[in-house]
Amino acid sequence: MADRLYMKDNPPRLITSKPGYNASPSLDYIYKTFDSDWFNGAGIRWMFRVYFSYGGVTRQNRTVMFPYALDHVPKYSWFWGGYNTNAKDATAPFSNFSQQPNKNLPMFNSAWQTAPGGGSSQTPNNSFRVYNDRCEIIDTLVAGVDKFGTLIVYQS
Amino acid sequence: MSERLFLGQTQGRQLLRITPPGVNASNLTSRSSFSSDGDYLRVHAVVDQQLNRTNNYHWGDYSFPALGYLPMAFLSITHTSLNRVFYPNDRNPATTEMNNFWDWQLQDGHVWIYTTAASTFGGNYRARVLIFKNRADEFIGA
Repeated sequence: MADRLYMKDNPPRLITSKPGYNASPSLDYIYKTFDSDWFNGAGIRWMFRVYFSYGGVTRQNRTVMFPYALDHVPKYSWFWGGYNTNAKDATAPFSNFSQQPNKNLPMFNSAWQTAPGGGSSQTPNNSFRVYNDRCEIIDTLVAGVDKFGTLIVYQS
Repeated sequence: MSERLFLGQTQGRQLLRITPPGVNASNLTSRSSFSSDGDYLRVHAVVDQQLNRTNNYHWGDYSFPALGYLPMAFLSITHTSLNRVFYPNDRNPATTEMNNFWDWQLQDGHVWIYTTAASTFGGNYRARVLIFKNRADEFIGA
């Protein structure tokens, strides 16, 4: 029977391991399932859905305030798209899908060509900045239609 | 000396929290390497398939075990002869092998991936979808 939980030392350290491997600081990474010395853990603190309403010729700059200020600038992921209240037809020509989406149910997707600072007429973010207490998205291209994106803020 | 492990109640919350060196674990505004309050991306299913190809349109739809809610997912697309990840960050003509017209959507139990215009480069594409157990509809509206 392997000791799969290690929690000791000062400063303390928590390590868990895969079945058959004793949890210890010297255990190879691939056999650890968690190690509190991995500083860049991908625990999620918040997930936001940021909505941009169609602004005509008006820029739709957005500032997303965090629920509370952090003492550091957090790691984050950003992509256009995310949760949609309704699906759409899957409409590729020459396709023979086994079934079609149920348009009465929500769907998830993401847009592409959307690296922060890149942008296109469909993805109007020219500048994207994260601070300790907020995220700022600067639209220099003007959203052509209603748009939304998903922002994930991590614990590290 | 920082308190790198906290187990108990702080600011009205019961939690286990572990922090990097120099960071107090009981300070909820600080970085953490583990927090029982936090959510984590948990892989539910992986789709790894070569897409169908008809007149240089690429498409496929695939099932995975339903969860009872709409899950989050990440998609990547590679050209099978080049083994480079194109989607989501690459584009034609910067990468001529890339098609600019990928679309995809996912519902509970099924995912659709397709191009809405023909590719000019030819060849086949491979799609990988990481489907997480995390709900797609648990977010803060902003």
